[in-house]
Amino acid sequence: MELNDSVLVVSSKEELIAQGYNHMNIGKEFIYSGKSFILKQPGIRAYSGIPLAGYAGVRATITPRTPKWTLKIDDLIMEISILA
Amino acid sequence: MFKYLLIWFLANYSYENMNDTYKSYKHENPIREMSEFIQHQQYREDQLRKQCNLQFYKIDPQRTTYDDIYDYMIETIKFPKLLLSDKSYKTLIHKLNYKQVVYMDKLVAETFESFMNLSHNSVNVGREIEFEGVNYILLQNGYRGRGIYNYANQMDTPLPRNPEWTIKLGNLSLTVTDIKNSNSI
Repeated sequence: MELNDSVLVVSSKEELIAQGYNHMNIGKEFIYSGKSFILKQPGIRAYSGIPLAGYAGVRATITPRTPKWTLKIDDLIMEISILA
Repeated sequence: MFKYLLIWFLANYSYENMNDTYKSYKHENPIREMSEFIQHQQYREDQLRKQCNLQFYKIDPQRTTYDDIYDYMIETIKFPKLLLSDKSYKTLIHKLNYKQVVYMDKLVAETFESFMNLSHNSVNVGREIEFEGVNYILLQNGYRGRGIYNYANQMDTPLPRNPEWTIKLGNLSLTVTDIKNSNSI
């Protein structure tokens, strides 16, 4: 991956997906196999729970979500909800 | 003597009667069972509605005897005419309960507007739409909002939503929830 603040080039699908879970990457552009992906919303991984957070009845839970990307192909701007 | 016998008989009869009433109240409660059954069915229906994203989908009313008689009368009138027709087999295939044939051809959209129109048609769910060299498989058709939900007779109108597609780019499988044309923004 090139160390560039605005455009980052990733070499594999797994790397692209992993970058989608980093909230520091919001708005950054990633290039993978010639296509430009901009991270719109970072994903949240599934955790079993936060230990010692809250009482038993109101224990905090984290709802997992997939990252949201914006993909540009020619004149079309697409919103990607699942990238697999 | 007869008086005591009569009192014994009445007391025994009353006790048996009360005992039976208590048992039936305790063990047989059809109204409560019916109420629980209806509540369970309503809960199941709510869950199904939530799972299937049915929103305000309204089920078709059940057929009545009048509908059956009406259809029978119409078929009775139409059938002799159908037999005399030279293309009768086309209608008879349907009558013989054959499944309707749907050709799963790839749809090709020339313009962005026609692509979006195809994506808002529920018939095209699961079909492949080609647009600007990319093959989109329509996962869910969209609904266009009409902006009128004020009256009771418009409450069944589905809420507006975007279509959903899946596309394949190399080894990536993408689920697309919205597409905008940068020329029209």
